[in-house]
Parts: sequence; structure tokens; C-alpha cells
Amino acid sequence: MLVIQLIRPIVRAIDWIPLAVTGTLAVVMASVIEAGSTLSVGTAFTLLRMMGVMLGASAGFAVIDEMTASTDATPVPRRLRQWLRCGFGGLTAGLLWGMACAIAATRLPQGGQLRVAGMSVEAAVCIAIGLLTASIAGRVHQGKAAALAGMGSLLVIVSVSLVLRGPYWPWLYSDEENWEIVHYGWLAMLPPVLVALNWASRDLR
Amino acid sequence: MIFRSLFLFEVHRLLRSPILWGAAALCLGLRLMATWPWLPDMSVDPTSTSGAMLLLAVAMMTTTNLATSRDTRHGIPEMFKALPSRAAERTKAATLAALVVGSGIALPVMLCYLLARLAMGPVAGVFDPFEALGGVLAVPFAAALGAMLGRWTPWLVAVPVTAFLIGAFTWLNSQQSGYGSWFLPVVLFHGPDWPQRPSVLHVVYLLAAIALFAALALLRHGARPVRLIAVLTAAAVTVPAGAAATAAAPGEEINRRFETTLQGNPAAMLGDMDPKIRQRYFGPDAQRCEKHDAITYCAFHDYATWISSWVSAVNPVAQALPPAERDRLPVVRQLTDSWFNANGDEEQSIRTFMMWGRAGAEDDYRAVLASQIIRSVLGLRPPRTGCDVRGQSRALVALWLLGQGIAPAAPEDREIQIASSAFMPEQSQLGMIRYGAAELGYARKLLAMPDARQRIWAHWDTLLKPETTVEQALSLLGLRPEFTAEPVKGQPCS
Repeated sequence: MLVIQLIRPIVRAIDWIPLAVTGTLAVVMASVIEAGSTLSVGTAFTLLRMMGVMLGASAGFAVIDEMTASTDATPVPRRLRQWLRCGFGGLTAGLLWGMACAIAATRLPQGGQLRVAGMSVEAAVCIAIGLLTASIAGRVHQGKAAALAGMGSLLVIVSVSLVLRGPYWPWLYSDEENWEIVHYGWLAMLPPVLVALNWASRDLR
Repeated sequence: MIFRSLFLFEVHRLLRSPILWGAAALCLGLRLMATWPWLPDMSVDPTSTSGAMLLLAVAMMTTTNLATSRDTRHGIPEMFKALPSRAAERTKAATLAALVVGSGIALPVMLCYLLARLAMGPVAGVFDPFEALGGVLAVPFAAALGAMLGRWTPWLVAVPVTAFLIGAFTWLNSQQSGYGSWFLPVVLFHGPDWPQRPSVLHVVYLLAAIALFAALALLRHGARPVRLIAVLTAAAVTVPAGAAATAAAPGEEINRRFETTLQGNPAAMLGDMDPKIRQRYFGPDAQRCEKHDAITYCAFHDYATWISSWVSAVNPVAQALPPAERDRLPVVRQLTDSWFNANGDEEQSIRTFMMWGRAGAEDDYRAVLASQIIRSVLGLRPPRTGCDVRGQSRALVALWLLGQGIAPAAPEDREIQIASSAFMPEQSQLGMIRYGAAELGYARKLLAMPDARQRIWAHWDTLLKPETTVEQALSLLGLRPEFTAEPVKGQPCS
């Protein structure tokens, strides 16, 4: 009941501009890159991965509550409010990524296929990491600038993991043999990130 | 006076920023890690390091954006109204400080990287200082862009969006797609054997773009004549410089080498090539040849420093051959990185590449060279799918020869990177040839035997016959049977 009552005010409180801007950009990019011809599988692959990172970074803006310090005394626990913000931000980002992915999938050449299941797990982990690091930064730093921590952490994680090439490289191409096992690894990342998100959403004091 | 203290304040603040120092360390560390297993090639090293600089550039853009937009957050504008300085001055100070600090951090990162690479073994390629400078200037470019975004867009999300756009376009552009072209701060990829890059024009473009973004940031505080003139002048340099660089740089024609009509047709490929490239890599003076112990090594002029590495891989094998065989060895010749399909098959040569390993990775390349010599001497010509040499006495000789330079290992399917975008498949260190544990075991025994060379030379012709079995070879070589022979898998080597 409490959750239902919270939905409206929290939806209004979230800064939707970052997700609107990045979501539009993702959808537009998926539609216009290589316009006039089919979208090659390799290009679609890398673009969608980049979009996952960008949407993860912008989802972080949804968890920043600029009034968090002054709403300490409300009867609603901070954890619940933050989870609602994470839910709205994360799901919207995921939905926008899904839209971009669907557009890219329709533009592939004959016989070309994206491994959507694995790629969406990658995007989900990126979004969750964006939410988590913005939440942590939001605890120590007041104001919207804390949301940029999402971008920072994602860039560090992505750049380091890109360089560490090996048989279990997280950014495998779809035809590589360890795809399945690596994506179970990606999936296994999700619960600890969500647990950490739960911890970062607790009351400030 | 106010400007000076504002500027110094911003400089100090930026210098204390953990984001910048962290990004600089990450940029340098990741770059060194990525190139650790390769010998330095100055034709490509500064260019690809510019790509890593994007990480520092994003950090710089973020911090500059936060610095210039600081006075718009937390209701500060009202408080600042009572102060003697105006917003324009704050923009000016923050932007200038970011430009100075950004260049000041990027320059040592680039220098440290290049100096570290210089110490990593014989250096090949031509160093273009403007290329390195372009990589450094990408950071103040991002700083000025961050300042401009801070003043013109009310949303912080402009920073991740710009970072994404620059990253995505830089990546797309690395395939000569034309997205952004030379208007991007860095142009990520360039083959070591591609036509010259317009590096000087790109530096001019970057400098003008920095001025343009900084002037645009100031323009937010009102269209004064000086600011307008600055914007127009900077734009008048930026746009033509970027356009000229794009026009001068190698573009989509580079990708024509992948076209099916040119594949498998060296003459057509050569005809289609940029005349300068043809002259440089296929002309009569394209290579410098040196003779070391009766073997000729031919390298492109900028790669002659690597000849000693090739000699160290080939010589141990050559010295283990009977003298008559040694004199018949083919030339060791370097191939280009992108145009190797233009080399015909008319000349049988040992092929080496525009890449060579170091820090443990050199063994792969030593094996690639040694195995070509071994295959040529032993008359092993494996088909595309590979062949099995189990049970043949040649396997012992081949592995013993290989063992002169590197420790022979069990067969393993692998791909060795031989060019920026080409990999060579192999089934073992001998190439597309498989062998068993027995052959490897006997070869190791031979390598430990002091008189192995005399015994092998004495029975050289018999051992090399495809019909001679391992069992027959054991008695000739004075080895006792101790490993169980495995059945041949797939096509036997003929």
C-alpha cells in the first residue's frame, strides 16, 4: 500500500531528463547508423554494448535524491524510496536499451543474428553498476554531480576489462566458444551488485 | 588580480582531483599492459596511445564541466552576486586552468609511455612527434568542450552523452566509416603501412577547436565583439583544418583490400594500391637485406632493428642443420601489415611480420620463424586443415630442430597475431602439424643427448624420408623405446 502511495511522488521527483536524452540518443543511433543499408552484426554488437554503458551511466541520475538529508524524519524508510528510484531508473534504462536492440535487430542483414539474451545480461549488469555507484556516491556527496560516479565507475570497469583479454574475456564476440560460460559469469555478477545496492540504499544514519 | 587568484584556485583544485590523477594512472597503466607483449613500433604506438588518452579526456571533461558549472549549483548564483568578480571571469579562469592542467597531465602520460616503450627493446617504425602531440591535445580539447557544455547545457548528463558520442564515433571511424572523421579528437587506428596521416593539420585543428570551445563557453556571458571575433576566427581555422585533414587522410579506399575481386589476385591488389605505398613497400628499394651466417634477412627500412630478433630465432635452427642444407635456406623476408595479399607465391621465402613479441610472447614468433625453416627443410607441406606427423621419424628431427631455439611444447590449437587484423592459425609450434606425446618425449630425450647432432646428421636422409617410422629411428639415434605410440589422427603428413 505504502509502495503504491509512493509511486506518484517518486516518479515526479526523479530527474528524467538524463534517461530521456540518452534513451532518445540510443534509439536514434540504432536507427541512423549506416542508414540506407543494413547494419552489420559487428557494428550493432559494439554499439549496443556502448549504449548499455551509457544508459547505465544515465540511470544513475534516477537514484540521486537531492532532498535525502532533509527527508530523514519521514515515516517511509529510505531503502524503500531508493529501491523505487532504482526500479524506475533501471527498468526505464533497460526498456530503452531493449528498444534500441529491437531496432538494431530488424536492420541486420539476412541471416545475421544478435545473441540478445547474453547481451541483455551485459546491459543489465552495466545498468545495475551505474545505479550502485551513483547510490554510493549519493551517500557521501550531496547533489546531482554524484550521479556522474556511475559513468566514472563504468568507464573504469569497461576499460580495464577490455584490456584484460583472455579466454574468459567479458566482451567476447558472439561466435566465440566461451560465450555461454562468460554470460553465466555476467549473470552471477547481478545478485552481488543488487545486494550492494540494497546496502547502499539504507538510511543515511 | 581577481582573475589570477581565481585561476590559481582552479589550478590547485584540479591538481588535487583524484579523478584526474586516477585517470592518468589508469591510462598509462592500461596502455603499458596492452602493449607489454609487443616490441615497440613508433609508427603505431603514439596513435593508439591517443586512443587511451580518451579516458583521461573524459575525466578532464567531467572535472572541467563540474568546475565551470559549480556556480550554478546549490543556489550559489545568488551568493556570488555580491562578489566583485563576474561569471565570465569564473568561466575564463576555470577553462584556462583546465587547459593548463589537462595538457600538464596528458604530456607526462604520453612521455612516460613513449619512454617506457623505448626501453622495451629494439624500436621500429617512424616516430611522428605531431602524432604524440595530437594525443596530448585531445585532453585540453575535452577540457574546453567540458567548459562549453558546463556553460551552455543545464544538465550534467551532457558529459556522459558527449563521452558516448565521442567514443562511439571514434570506434566507428576506426573502420574508415567517415563518422566524424578527422573532426574527432583522436583517430584511433592506423596501420603501420598505410599512407601518411595528416598529423600536423590535426594538431592545428585541435588547437583551433580548443580556442573555439573556450570562446563559445565565454560567449554564454553575452555576445561581446571580442568574443564574437574570437569564435569566428577559431571556427574559420577549425572547420577548414578538420576538413582538410579528412580530405588528406587515407579513407575508405584502404578497405578496398578486403574486396573479393582483389583477394587471391596479387597483381590486381598491387595495381589498386596507392602509388606511394606501392613504391614504399613493393618498390625495388623497399627492403634492406642483411646476411647473417649464410642466411639473408630482408626488412623494411624502419624495421631493420628487428633483424637481430629474427636472427636469434632462425640461427639456432640453421646451425643445427647439416652444412649442405644450410646453404639452401630461403630468404627471411618481412611482409607488410595490410598488403600481404599483394605478395605472390613466386618466391619461396620465410615470412616475418610487422609485429614481434617480447616479455615471453616472443617464443610464439620465434616458433613461427623456426617452424617455417623446419617445414621447408623437411619438405613438410601441410594442407590448409593440417596434417598429422605421428609415427614418422621426421617428427623427431623437426621437434629437435625446434628445440634448438625454444622449448618444444605439446600441440595446441592457437591463433598467432601476425598483423593488426590478421591471425595465423596453428595446431602446434610446427604450424598446421600435429604430433603426439611419444614424438615430443623422444625429441626431449634427443635434446638432452650430447651427441644427438652427430647421430641425426649421420642418418639425415633416412630420418627425413616420410616412410621411416619412429621405431626405426630410435635404433639409429640410440634411443630406447619408452613412450607408447599413438594412432594417427586425421590426414597423415605426406
